[in-house]
Amino acid sequence: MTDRADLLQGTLDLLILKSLVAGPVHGWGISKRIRQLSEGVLEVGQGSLYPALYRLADRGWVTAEWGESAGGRRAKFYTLTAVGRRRLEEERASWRLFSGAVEQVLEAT
Amino acid sequence: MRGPRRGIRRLFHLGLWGPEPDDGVEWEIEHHIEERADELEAEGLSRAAALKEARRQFGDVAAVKRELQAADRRSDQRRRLAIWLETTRQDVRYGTRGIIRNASFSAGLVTTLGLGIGATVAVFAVVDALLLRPLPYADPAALVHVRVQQPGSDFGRPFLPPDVVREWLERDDAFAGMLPHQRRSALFTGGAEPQDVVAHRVAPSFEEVLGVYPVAGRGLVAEDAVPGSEPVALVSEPFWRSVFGGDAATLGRQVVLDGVAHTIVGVMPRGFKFPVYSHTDFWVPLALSGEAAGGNVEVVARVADGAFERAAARANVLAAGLFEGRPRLDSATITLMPLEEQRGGNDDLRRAVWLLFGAVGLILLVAAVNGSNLLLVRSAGRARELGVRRALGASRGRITRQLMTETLGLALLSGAVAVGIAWVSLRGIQGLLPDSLVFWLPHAVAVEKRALAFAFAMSVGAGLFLGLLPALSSTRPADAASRAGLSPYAAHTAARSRLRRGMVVAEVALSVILLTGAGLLLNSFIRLTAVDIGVRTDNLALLQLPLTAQSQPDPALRSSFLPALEERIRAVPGVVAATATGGLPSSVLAFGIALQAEGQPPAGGDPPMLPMAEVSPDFFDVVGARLLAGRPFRPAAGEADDVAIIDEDLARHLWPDGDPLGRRFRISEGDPWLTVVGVVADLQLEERDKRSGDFELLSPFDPTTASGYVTVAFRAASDPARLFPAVRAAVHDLAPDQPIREIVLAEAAYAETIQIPRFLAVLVSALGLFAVVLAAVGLFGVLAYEVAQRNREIGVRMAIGASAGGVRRMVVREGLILAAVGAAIGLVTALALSRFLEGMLFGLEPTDPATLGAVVATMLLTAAVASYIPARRATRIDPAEVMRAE
Repeated sequence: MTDRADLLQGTLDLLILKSLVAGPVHGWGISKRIRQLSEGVLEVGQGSLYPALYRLADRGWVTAEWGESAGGRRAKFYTLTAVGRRRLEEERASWRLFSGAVEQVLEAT
Repeated sequence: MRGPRRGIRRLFHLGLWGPEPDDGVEWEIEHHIEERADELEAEGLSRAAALKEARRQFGDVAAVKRELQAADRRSDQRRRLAIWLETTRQDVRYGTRGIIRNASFSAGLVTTLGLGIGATVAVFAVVDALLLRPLPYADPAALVHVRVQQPGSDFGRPFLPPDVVREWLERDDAFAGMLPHQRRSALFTGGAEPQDVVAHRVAPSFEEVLGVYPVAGRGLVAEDAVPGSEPVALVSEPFWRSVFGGDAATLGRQVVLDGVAHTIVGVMPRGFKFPVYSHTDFWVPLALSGEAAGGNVEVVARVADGAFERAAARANVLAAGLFEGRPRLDSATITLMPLEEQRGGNDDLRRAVWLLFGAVGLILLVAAVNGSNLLLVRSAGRARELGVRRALGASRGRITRQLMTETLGLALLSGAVAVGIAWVSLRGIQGLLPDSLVFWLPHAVAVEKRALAFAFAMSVGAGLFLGLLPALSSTRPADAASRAGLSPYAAHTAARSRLRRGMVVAEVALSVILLTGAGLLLNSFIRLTAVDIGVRTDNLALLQLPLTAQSQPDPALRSSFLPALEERIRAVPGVVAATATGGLPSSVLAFGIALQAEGQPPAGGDPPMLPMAEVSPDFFDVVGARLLAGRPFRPAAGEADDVAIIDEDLARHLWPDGDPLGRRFRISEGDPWLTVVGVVADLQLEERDKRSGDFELLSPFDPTTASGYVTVAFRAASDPARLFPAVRAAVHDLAPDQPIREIVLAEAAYAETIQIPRFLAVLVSALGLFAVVLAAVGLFGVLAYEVAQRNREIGVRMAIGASAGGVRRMVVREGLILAAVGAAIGLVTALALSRFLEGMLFGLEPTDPATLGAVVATMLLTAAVASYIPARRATRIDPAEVMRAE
C-alpha cells in the first residue's frame, strides 16, 4: 500500500476534488477512484481521507448528502460545489506549475 | 448500519435524502468497511474474514471516528452561528427600515425615552461620584483614619501630637503604611494678586500609601522632609492649569508660599484630592521634628489584607506605650475609621441625592410606560402586516424577535440621545449643585465609563420592557386571523384597550407621585426663603479676609489694619456703611454645649451646636439686626470681655420668664460666665429650619487684635457687586500681601444654607412637570386612538341625534375618569411614600392639603386639556361618511 506520507501536502484535496468532477461519489468510491485513476500508484489512507472530506465540506467546496450506494447500502455522497469547482481549477493550475518546475529541475544536467 | 432502522425508513420512503443522522460518522465508516469487505470477498475470502481484514486495513476506527465527530460538531456550531448572524442581520435591517419608515413615531419615542434615561444617567453620575465610585486611591477600602478616642466619648478626634507620630512611625507594625498629614493654608504670592491657598503638609510616604503618583515630575522623597532641605511642593492639576496655564515648564519653577520660595517638583493627577474632602492647591513635605513641626497631625493608614481588627489591636498596643504619662492621651484608645465611612458627608446630602435618584427613576418609568403605550398603539396599526407574515409561515418566535430587535434599536438610539442629554444637563445643573455637595465629592461629576455603562444597561432594560408587551400581545396565535383583517371585531381589541388604559392610569399615578414630591419641596423651599433671618440682606456684601502673620507681617500695622480698612471701604463712593466682624454668618460653632443660666441647673434640650460671632458696636446698624433690649457693644477698649448679646430664642431658652439683661450664663461647665447686655431679634444665619441650633451668640469684636478669618460687612446705596473692584483695590492699597478669600453678596452667602432645598425643589419640580406632560401625551394618544377606533359608533350616535356637546362630554369624561383613577392611586402612594420627605420639609407636613389639592387640580386640568383635543376631533366625524366606508 502506498503510504499516505507519500502524498504531498495539499495534493490530497486536489485528488478528492478531481475525483468528484464526474458526479456525486461516496467516501469509499473516492478512495477507489483515486486508486483506479492512478493505476494503483496512489492510495489514500482512510485516516486522512475522511478528515479531508469533512474539512472540504466545512469550507463549502463539497456538500454531503445521504443516499443509497449501488449495493443498496446507506452511504454519504459528496458533491462538488461551484466554489469547489473553481478551487479545483486553481489547485490544478498551481500543481501544474509546481510539478513542471520540479520536472525542470530534475531534467537539468 | 444495516439494521431494521434502514428498513423502516425505506418502508415509509424516508430514506433517500434524509437529514444528517447523529451517528452519521459511524455509518459512513461502516459503509467504507463493508465496501472494502465486498472487494476482499470477491478476491476469495469468506465474508467474516473479509470484514475482519477490511476493519484491520482501515486502522484505528475509534480514533478516526472521534476526529470526525469533533470536526462535525465544530462545523455544525459554525453553521448555526452563521444562520444566527444572518437572521440577526435580517432583523436589524427589518428593524432599521421600520424605524426609518415611521420617522416621526421613532423620533417621538426616542426623545421621550432619551429624556427619561438621560435624566437618570445625569443623576446617576452625581450619586456615583458622591457615594458609589471607589475613592480615587489604590485599593481605597484598605485606608483608614487613625482616631483618638477619650474614654466615655462617642467621637474620636483625628489629632495626634507630632512627636508621638514620629515615634510611632519608627516602631509601627500595625499598618502597611502610615501617612501623617497636617491641614494648612498659606499665603501664595507671585501670582496676579496675593492668594489664600491650601498647602497641605504630607509625609513623604504620601504617594506610596495612597498609591497615586504625579502625572508630571517626581513625588516627595524622604530627604524633602529633612529640616533644612530645599523646600519643594507638588501642585494640584486645577491650580497648575489656572495659575500656571498648564505649562510643562512649571516644574522646577519657584512659588512663594508664606514668604518661602518652594520649588515645584511635580503635578498631581487631575481629580486627585487629599484629604478626600478638601480643596487643596499644594502638597508640601511635613516634618515631624524641628521647629517646622508644630500643631497636631492627622494620620491616614493603610491596613494590610483587610485585617482591620488585627491592625486596631496592634495600634492600641503601640499607642498605650506612646500615650503613657501624656495629659489628655493617657487613657485614650485608638479607633480606625475607614475613609469610605465618611462618604456623602451628612445624612441631608445623602438623602437628597437618593431622593433625586428616586425621582428620576419615576420619570424613567413614566417615559417607559409612555413608550410602551405608543408601541402598543402602533403595533395595533401594523396588525395586518404581522398577520400576513404569520399566515405566510413566520413563526411567533421569529416575529417576536423581529419586533424586539426593532424596539431594542429604538432603545439604543434613545440611550445615545440620553448620553447627550445627561452631558448637557450636568453642565446645566453645575451652578445648582449645593456647595456642600461639591465639597463632599471625591470625584468630578461627569458622564464617564460607569455612567456610560449605566446608560447602556438602562437602554437595554428599557428596550426589553418596551418590546416585550407589544411583541407578545401582537403575536398571540388567536389574534393572527383577525390581524389579517378577517375579523375586525375580535375580542382582543377589548383586552388591548384595557391594557392601554391601564398604562395611562399608571402614568398619571406616577406623575402625581412626582408632582406631590415637587409641590411639597417647592412649597417648603418658598417658606425657607421667606424666613426672616434677622438681617437685612439687600445691598449688603461681605468681604472675607484671612489675617495671618504672613499677610500682615508688621505687628504694629496689623493692629491698625482693620480700623483703617473700615475707613477705606466707607470712603468708596457708593458705600453707605461698613463694619468689621469676627466672621459671618458665624465664625465659630461651639459643640458639646450645655447651656446654663447662673443660679439654675443646666437648661437641657440644647441644640447640637451654637453659632457664635464677634461683632463691632455698629454691627446692628450696618447689617440691620434689630436690638430689642439693652445696648450694643461699646468700642473694644471700653468693653469687658465677658459680655454677650444673645438672640430672642436663646434668651427665652435660658430665662423662660424674666428679663435677661444683666444676668449671667455659660455655654458649658468650665466656660466663663457671660453677662447679657443686649437681646437681638431672632438671628438665623446658619440654618433657617432651626434643626441644628436656632440660637445665636454675639460677643464683642476687637479689630486691633483680630486674627484668622474676619469679615467686613458693607452696605451700598445700590448694587454692591459694582463696588467689588474698588473694595478689592482698597484692600491691596492698604496691605499689598493681604489675600482676599472672597467677596460676596450677603444674599448669596446666606442662601448657602438653603442650597440643598433649592437644588431639590428646582430639579424635582422640573421632573414633575415633565412627568405631567408625558402623562398628558399618553392620555391624548389613547383617547385619540379610541376615537379613531370608535368612529363608527360615534357616527351612529350622531346620526341618531347625539349633539356635538354630548359627544365631546363623553370623550372628556372618559379622559377625566382615567386621570382621576390615576390621581387617586398616585395620591395614596405619595402619602405612603411621604416618610422619605420627613425632615426635608420646612413649615409644612407631607399631607399639606393645599399642596395636595394643587397637585390634583394641576393633573386633572392637564388631563381635561389633553382630552379635549380628541373630543373635538370626535365631533367632526361625518356619520354619512362612516356608513359609506362600511
